[in-house]
Amino acid sequence: MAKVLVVDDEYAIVETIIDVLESQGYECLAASNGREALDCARQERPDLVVMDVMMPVMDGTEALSEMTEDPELASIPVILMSAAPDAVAVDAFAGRELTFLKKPFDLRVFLQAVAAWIGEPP
Amino acid sequence: MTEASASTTSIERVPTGVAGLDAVLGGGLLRGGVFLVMGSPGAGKTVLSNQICFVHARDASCAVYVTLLAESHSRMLSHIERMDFYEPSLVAKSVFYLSGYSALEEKKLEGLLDLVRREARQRRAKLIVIDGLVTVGAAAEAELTLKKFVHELKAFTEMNGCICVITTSSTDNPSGHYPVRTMVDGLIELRLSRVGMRTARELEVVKLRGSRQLMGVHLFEISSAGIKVFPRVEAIYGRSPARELPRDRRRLGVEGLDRMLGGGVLAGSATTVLGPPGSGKTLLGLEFLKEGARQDEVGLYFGFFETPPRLIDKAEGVGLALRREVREGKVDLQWLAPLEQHADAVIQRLLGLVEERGATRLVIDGIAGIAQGMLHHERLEQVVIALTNELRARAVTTLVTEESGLEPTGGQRVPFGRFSAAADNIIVLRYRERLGTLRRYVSILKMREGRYDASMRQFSITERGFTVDGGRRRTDLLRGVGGGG
Repeated sequence: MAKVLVVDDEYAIVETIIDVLESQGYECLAASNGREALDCARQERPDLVVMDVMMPVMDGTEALSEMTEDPELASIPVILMSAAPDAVAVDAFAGRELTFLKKPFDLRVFLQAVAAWIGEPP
Repeated sequence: MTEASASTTSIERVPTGVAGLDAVLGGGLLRGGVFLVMGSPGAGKTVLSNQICFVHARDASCAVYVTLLAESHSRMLSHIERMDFYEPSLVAKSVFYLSGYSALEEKKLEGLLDLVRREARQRRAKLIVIDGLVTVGAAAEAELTLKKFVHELKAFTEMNGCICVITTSSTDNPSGHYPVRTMVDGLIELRLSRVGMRTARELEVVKLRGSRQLMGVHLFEISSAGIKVFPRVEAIYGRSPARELPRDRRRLGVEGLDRMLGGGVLAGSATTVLGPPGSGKTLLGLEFLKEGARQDEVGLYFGFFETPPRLIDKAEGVGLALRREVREGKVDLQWLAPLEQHADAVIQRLLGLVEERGATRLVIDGIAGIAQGMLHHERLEQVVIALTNELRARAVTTLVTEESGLEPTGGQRVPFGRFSAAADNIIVLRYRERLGTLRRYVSILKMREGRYDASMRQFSITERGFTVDGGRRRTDLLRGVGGGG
């Protein structure tokens, strides 16, 4: 079963996304900041990371940079989400497997993005 | 052992950048302070706190906005992104939106405080917003815990020179806010108030330590420009002239009337032109501005009932050409429909235009347009006095028209308008039926300085303009005026 790590400091958003993904048949993990996400990713090796940008402790872009530099995490695709479109210099991560979604997003669009990276569960 | 001498330094004020609010705050928020913004749902707390964040961020400073159980960040941004103060490029670079709820849930108030301190330090934020005191209060085991939270927050803001704004609903658990209210450096309350059919947005700085805020309630509005506060006119205006006003006179531009006035009205004075509908008040005001243009003064007409094109046509119909003066900027015609505009906003706009145009002659046509915008009419007298004093301080010679009722033929009652008490001079226009014809008469009821002709003279409005007869004193009409005769 494909495993998705959902990272956001707003717990309501984490719960909503996990609810949707689990209903589709994905296995889900949660983290509330970039540091927790890296620790979880190193331990659990998710197939996909869905991550917010603005978070306490470590934000999404910093966590993404560390993932990119870590050979064990560099190949994990990431969906970055943010309410601020200018928050991420997406070009800085050219060549990396990355999708950017502006919040609030349509859940159908979100599920399509997830399926594009890790396929749909059987 | 020597005693160290204590030196007192005044605390720096940091402007909020919100139009009108800094005037109410006496300059801005105190650096290092913690402030509470209370308001009912929809009162404007979120807009206000976001606006302060973005103004702050534009000045190359960082702001951290910590939410708890309020709306999601994306929902909040979708509301404010339509506002002029919002700059998307600043989000996640200078304005950071973070949720503090997880920290609060795991480690209660200590966890939230740790998050706030860490994030503010890490991002070098000079402004912190904590949106949702009710949630903080609910997580506090006791009142003492909440007080400790505020106390430690204050210590942090003071040491780091940042400002913290905590927002809370005034309807949820109002008594629970009491410990916080006593500890914060300032308390701003936002209210929605129903007056008759209208709803007013009210702001009051209930408390501000070590400062002289503008006390009382001030109106504000929320538009695409964000929040704009209109300090109460009588609280902010009304200073005395800083210098001696010139003693020369300003002609109205109507020969017979200027003769009656001893050459005109005193420069910087305020004159009421009182008269029933259609008596010629507006035209007299336009003559006054045209005369000003002849004297190389800039004049401003600020009216509520006739649009500028209509005014120009009306003036031309009686031989008073204004198009050239308007084109050259010597006469500026401004019109504002007397709908739901607050008087404070109207007066602020008026004074702004006076300053912007460099106007030294002003016609306000008429006082009813300002009065209609007042939610509390008992303020009118104070507002008028403050406005008059402010215009006097700016050396602006002002004519204010005011409508009086139609008097019965031969009536003896002397009309007295609402503006008259504050005015330096009162000119009265009236109708009298005489030999089957309605005739117009002008008289001077009051002139604070100088001698004037107290007689009542007939005047006419024809294609030659506003003309006052220079005839003999009409003693038969004077009978009964002021009770004499």
